[in-house]
Amino acid sequence: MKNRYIWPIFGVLVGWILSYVSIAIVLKQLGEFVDTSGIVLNPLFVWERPIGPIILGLASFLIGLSRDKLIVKQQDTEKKNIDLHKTMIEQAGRLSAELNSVMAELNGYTYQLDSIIETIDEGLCLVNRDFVIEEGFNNSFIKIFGDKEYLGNSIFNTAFSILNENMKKETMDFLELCFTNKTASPSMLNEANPIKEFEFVQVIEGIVVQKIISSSINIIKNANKEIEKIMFVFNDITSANELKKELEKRDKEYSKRYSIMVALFGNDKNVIKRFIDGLEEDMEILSKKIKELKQNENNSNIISDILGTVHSIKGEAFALGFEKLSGIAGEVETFFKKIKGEVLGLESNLEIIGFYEKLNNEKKEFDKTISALEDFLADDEVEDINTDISSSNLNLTDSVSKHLGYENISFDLLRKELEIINKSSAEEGGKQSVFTLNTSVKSIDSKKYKLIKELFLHLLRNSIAHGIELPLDRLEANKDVNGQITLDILKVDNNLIFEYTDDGTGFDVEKIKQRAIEHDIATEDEISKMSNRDIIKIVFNDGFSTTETVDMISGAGVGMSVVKKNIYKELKGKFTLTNRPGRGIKIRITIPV
Amino acid sequence: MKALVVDDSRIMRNIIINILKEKKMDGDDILDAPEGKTALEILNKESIDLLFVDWNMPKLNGLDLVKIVRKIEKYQDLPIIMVTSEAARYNVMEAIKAGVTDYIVKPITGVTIMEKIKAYM
Repeated sequence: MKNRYIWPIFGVLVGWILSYVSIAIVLKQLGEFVDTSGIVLNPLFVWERPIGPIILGLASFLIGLSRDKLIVKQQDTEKKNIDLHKTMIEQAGRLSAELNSVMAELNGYTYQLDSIIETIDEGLCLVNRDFVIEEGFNNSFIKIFGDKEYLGNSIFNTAFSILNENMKKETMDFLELCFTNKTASPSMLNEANPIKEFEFVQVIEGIVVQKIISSSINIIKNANKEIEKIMFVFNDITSANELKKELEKRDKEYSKRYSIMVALFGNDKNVIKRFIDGLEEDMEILSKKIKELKQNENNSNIISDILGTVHSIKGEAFALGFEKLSGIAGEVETFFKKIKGEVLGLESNLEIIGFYEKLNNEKKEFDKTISALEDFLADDEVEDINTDISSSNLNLTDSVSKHLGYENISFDLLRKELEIINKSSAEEGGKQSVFTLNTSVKSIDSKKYKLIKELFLHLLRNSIAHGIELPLDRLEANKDVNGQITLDILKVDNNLIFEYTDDGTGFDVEKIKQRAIEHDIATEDEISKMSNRDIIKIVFNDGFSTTETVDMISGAGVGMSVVKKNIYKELKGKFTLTNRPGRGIKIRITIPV
Repeated sequence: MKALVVDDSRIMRNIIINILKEKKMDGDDILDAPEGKTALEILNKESIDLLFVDWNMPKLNGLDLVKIVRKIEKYQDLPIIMVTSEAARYNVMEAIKAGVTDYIVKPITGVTIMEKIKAYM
């Protein structure tokens, strides 16, 4: 039976009993003052005055009704969830079916390619020491190189005539080398063969046909182990080549599409969602900055900002497995590093636009894939409704900030995101590290979240690239084989305090000094007067890095300046750094909230 | 069978030596030299059956060393394997002209070395 019927009956009964009991109590109390012995309490007394039970019954009915509605809503949501789940499973099924058919198609191609190569037209040609072609070639050789009228010695000359002058000379030199050098192995001689692969154009019945021919050589030795003859084996690999190209093209296309999908399915949904939102924002920032770049002579600051943004995209995309996006961002980064400080000409400006477009195209590729998987992200909204109903203590500040346009983001997400960065950076650098985040604060508004995430992303990557030692070195230094990186977040008065520590090598002051001089950041004189403290500050300068190569994790000299900028300029906070050489670093960041 | 490994990098020498040892070659039969002059002394004193030479070495480079070795009567048929990071066609031509038998392109692995030397062992 439905609740809305039980509740009123229950309410009337309870109301009745309560009324009876309360009147009985009142009568008993009154009995002390007046004589009430004449009044006999009849249960029907209440029946004659039903107003109390009716009110209670009505109230119960309303409670029952609203509870019913809530339950129905919850059931609806659950049903919706299950439906979505079903569609997701169906989608995954469809995807895997599609993938299978693609794989089958690719396999078919490979098989075809193999059979073409096996049954390929072959031609032989023997050349003796006097460079005279000998008889002993088959007809397919003639098909490739010319007509039957060239039978005999002139065939090789015909073959020769289709090569350009340069190649002819190289081939002669090569033959000379083959005959004069008895020590070289056939495989080595083949490596030096100048006509290993060449193109030629043939006219067959008025139609121009372009062919690709490959050749390899065999060496025929006489009884004295002297090279007597060189045998060329020619293959027409035109169609095999075309098929190979087609295969590579398809392979590339599919792997591009599926790598995005694999990364989408392989990561935490909320992390992906934040990443995609962040990417949208980053692209807007980039487009704005590039416009500014055209209007300003002095571009150093703008390019620093651009480098910071691109560096973040590169690192995050890499950590999540979006390799192509990460690669493109890397290219863009290298380019901007190169042109930083230069006066930009027309050519550079065109190149900038080209790079931006490349990045944007990859982002569009993303959007395309995601819209194909619409429901993949729609799932999240249902979860939100669910939590709204089930969590009784609805966070007031959350809803207020939502109205103001700031969504609050939980530090749990920060933990997830930084753990991913930790894992991928450690793998990339061949290191082992454990990242721990402890927090007594639940969440923060999305604007600050982005800045905080960005700065810890750079700190974490730098810790792993420069601080944490390789596993063997750590054991030698009597440390746990796993590098320990921790972030503690707490709230004191109106400040959020972030305490970040790693147990790596700490800053290498000597190395920083050396790099600072190389980069003309300071002269040797100035350096010698500086305290260790001031020297470490150099690390947070724009464009400083102690690593020689720009790799996927860090080293472009961008990261630490972003840390400084985000703390001081954007978050209006401050930070202190404790360097413990050989034992790691500790950074305490205070930001007002 | 005796092998000589000539390379100015100790690490590279050790890699090749270890691979040869894995292939059941006696440690005593594997000699090594850090540069050309020492290598020539060993070649004169001993009878070597397989020679590994690094292309880029200070003072006497690998190609010049091979040219000198080929002039020694007893080493005219000696298998000489060049270890190099250059594999362009003209590099190979140059090596063939100097008298190199085969070459291995860096970075080397056990598989690539075995592939090349099984014909000479």
